[in-house]
Amino acid sequence: MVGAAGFPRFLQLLQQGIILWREVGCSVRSFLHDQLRLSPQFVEENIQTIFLDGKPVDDLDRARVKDGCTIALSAAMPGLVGATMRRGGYYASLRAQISHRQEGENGGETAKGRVTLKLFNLVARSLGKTFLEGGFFVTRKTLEDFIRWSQPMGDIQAVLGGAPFDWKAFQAGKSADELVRLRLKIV
Amino acid sequence: MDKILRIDMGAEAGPKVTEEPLGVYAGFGGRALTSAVVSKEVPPLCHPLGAENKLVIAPGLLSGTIASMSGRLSVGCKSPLTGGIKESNAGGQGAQVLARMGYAAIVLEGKPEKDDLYKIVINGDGVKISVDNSLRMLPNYDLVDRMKQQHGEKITCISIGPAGEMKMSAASIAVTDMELRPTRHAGRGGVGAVMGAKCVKVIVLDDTGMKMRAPKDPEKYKEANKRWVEGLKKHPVTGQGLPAYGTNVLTNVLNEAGGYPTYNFKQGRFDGASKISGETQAETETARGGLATHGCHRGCVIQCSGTFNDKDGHFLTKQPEYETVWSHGGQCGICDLDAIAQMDFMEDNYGLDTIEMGVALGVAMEGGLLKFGDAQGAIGLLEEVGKGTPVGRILGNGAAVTGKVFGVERVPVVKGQALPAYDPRAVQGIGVTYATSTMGADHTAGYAVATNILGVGGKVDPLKPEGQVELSRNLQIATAAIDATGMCLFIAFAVLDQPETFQALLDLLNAFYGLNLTADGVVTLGKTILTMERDFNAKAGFTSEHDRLPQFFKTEKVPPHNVVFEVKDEDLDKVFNW
Repeated sequence: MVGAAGFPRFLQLLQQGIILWREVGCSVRSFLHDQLRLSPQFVEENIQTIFLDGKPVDDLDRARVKDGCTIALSAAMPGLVGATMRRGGYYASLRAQISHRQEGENGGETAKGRVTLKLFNLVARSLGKTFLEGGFFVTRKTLEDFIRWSQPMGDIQAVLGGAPFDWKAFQAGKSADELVRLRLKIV
Repeated sequence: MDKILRIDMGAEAGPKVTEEPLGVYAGFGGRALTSAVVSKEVPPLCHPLGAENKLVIAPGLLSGTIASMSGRLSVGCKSPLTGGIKESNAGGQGAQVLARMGYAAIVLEGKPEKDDLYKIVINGDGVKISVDNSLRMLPNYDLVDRMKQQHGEKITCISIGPAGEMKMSAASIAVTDMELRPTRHAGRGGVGAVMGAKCVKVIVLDDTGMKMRAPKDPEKYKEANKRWVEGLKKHPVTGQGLPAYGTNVLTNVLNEAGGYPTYNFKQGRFDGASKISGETQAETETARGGLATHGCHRGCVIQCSGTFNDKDGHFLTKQPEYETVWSHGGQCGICDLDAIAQMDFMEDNYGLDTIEMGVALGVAMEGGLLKFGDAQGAIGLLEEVGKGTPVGRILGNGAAVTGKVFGVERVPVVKGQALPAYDPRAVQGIGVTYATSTMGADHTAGYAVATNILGVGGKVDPLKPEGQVELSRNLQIATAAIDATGMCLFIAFAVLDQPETFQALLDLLNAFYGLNLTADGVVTLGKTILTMERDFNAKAGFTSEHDRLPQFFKTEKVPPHNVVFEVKDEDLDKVFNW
């Protein structure tokens, strides 16, 4: 549980990436609409920059979400390079070597898979609360880094497995890649 | 704004002041004027720190008017860093005040025989130049405090810190902001060293009692400015993104794209990026009682700056910009925002270019002077620069000199000037601009993303790689033209998407000067500026071999995309074919 004033620091987790289990094998557009429940209008007007595994995406229908992939969502960005990264933008050729190569519109079967979702800037501000309150996974290492970075924790009350969170016991835990499920409650 | 103030610092009886009409320079402002004066009056083969070089300080064509965003001040000379022509511009109050005082430019000429340090005061009573050696080696903040005590709070200062006095090639010229802090810098190319060579420590401007410049058609001008402001406010970048996070909002995006130069351009991603991102910075600033949204001069509606307080809530520095956060962050492997803000303050105070210094620090780290990620070590080295120790003087002369002294092969410079915060292997189009710009590696040389609106060079298929050379050419033309207006380059984002906002900019120029300027006229202006600059550089000894990126960009693959710079030399040579 965190007070409204302490909430913004949790946006740090969205910058680093949260892990979701969703249907994959679909197009990026379908994933945004059907799996993340974002309205077509929101996607069109507010998400101008999309990366799939670090590659700027130009055509949402010809980029496929696969198990284990990372998707990052951003608003329109300043600067020449900000404009360059825009999907389907006028300056896309300036980053042609790293652009996401278009795939077929018709993919194979869809199935549950792991997706790392990163939300930046105004997109995080708009959607962050929904995703953080809805529940997500992070690696133990990500959580440890976040806790260290967030000190002092101030008005944050944490419960792990039904018991008050014990930082020392948590640090003595399992591998860095182990997934931890979190859900934020803003009070 | 119809006169040029010339100050001959080398006159026999002491500095000599003359005022003259614009003459052959009529119709030029900002970069157009600085480059015109330098290309016409400065011998291209002169020593940049010698008497023959000139320092030209010019507001833009629309500065000093009610036009929003018109506060950029251009500074031009032959650069001690690159050896070529230089225009470096800054925000702050300088352009607006100088323009309201009627000056299209101040030109500092000659060089005193003695090493006395001068203060120049310009106000309604005229120009007063006096020796003031008590100002020697004062950092910019202390200097401005002294000027406030002597001349009151309604002044604007254009000054150099110790780096400029020591004639370091990374020395900047500071311009005070709305709060009378020396936070805005003409940073690139060592323009501060040229002011130092002229023995001018500070120019104090006081425009008390002077009015805004009057347009030829006041009603049309007012109406155009209204549309202009509306266009800037309604656009998501200029109306939302930049005000909320500042330019550092780019950190996460460039990092995700694998184009964020890290550990002296060894890789394109930095693990600590989210710790120093614009989102984290804005949250930190707000939590500490600073500001995440603030303008650098009166009349700015984008408000991309802010104030960064320390952990106790006291002012530390203005909001560090993306380039600063990167050059001391990813480039040096430092993920501590407080340390980066401290270095931002030190560089403003000593009068140093934050890009050149951050890159030089990263090169020094590669050379073994200190370890990547050593924030306190980096702060210690900057202190040495401010004091002028031997190591400090090496770093203060930029990344190229630092690389040579410490035997580093991977030195990211073009024409001797450090690369900014975008890896040209990931974003190859910007590499074309880095390589070919008249200014040395400079992201702002091809920044005006308005080429589609201008229709420069015809239609280019944006999804074909061969369009990169054409796009870079068109971007450089558009940028040169906007640099002449005094407009902040960030206006380009609204202009890119909103033709009516571009029209409002044309209408501002036309209503002010009584012109019928069209997009074609803007293109012609941009080409004229670039032609003057290219001619100067050619006479200074530059050839096509100088329009190249360092070799390692062609041979070392940068992860995560594992790409090299692939644009061919013969294509780079076509950039200025028009």
